[in-house]
Amino acid sequence: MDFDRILKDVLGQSKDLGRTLFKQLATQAAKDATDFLKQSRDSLKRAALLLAEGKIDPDDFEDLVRGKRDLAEMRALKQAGLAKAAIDTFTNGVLNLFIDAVFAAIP
Amino acid sequence: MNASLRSVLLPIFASLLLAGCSTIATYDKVAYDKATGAKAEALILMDRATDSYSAHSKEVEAVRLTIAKAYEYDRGRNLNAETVKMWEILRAPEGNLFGGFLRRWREKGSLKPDAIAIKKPDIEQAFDEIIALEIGKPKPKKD
Repeated sequence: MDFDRILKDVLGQSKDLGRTLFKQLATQAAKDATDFLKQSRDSLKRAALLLAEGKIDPDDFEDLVRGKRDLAEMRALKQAGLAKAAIDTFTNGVLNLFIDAVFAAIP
Repeated sequence: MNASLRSVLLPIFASLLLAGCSTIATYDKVAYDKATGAKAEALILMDRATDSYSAHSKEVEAVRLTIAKAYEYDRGRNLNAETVKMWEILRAPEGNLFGGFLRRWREKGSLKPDAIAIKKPDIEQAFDEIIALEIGKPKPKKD
């Protein structure tokens, strides 16, 4: 069995797998952050207007602002979880490639 | 190595290797259903907050229980720290998401319609973060 050949093949395929998986993750994370900032800006702008019109209380406004911070923390946790999921998918993918390659090489 | 021996050894070898490589729990349909159910109940309850808290205290307790069950279910799963922490932020009475919303409703007696309307998308989003992470977890291997 030519292990050098197997490792070289698996490494090549792993690079492609990693590139695809982590590019998707980075793209999604960037979009997520942009969406959050836009939504927060729009929501706080509307809340400031409602506060000025007396339709909400100052403590409602303060709660909204503090809630955005909690929401940002939840988003960060989600992204951390999704990054772990991508790592698991990558690791398992590489192992599967390796296992397939080894068993394919067995006469 | 003959084909039948290979077919026996391959799944064993693969399982042993893969078992040690996980960093996060796999997707769980029950957890997903609990989170989506809790979201629906919480958002419906929020609409009632223009009324007095005391008139809806039983409904509040029912929704709290639904969320507590979802939280405890997720707490019992291995490699699930991010989801557990997210539930804790969402339900914390001293925080400013759903737990904080219920506290403020109780303290103020009732809330203004615009205060509810402006808060609702954030609570919805908070549940969606938990749901999105569940959907994004690796799918479990089929036997």
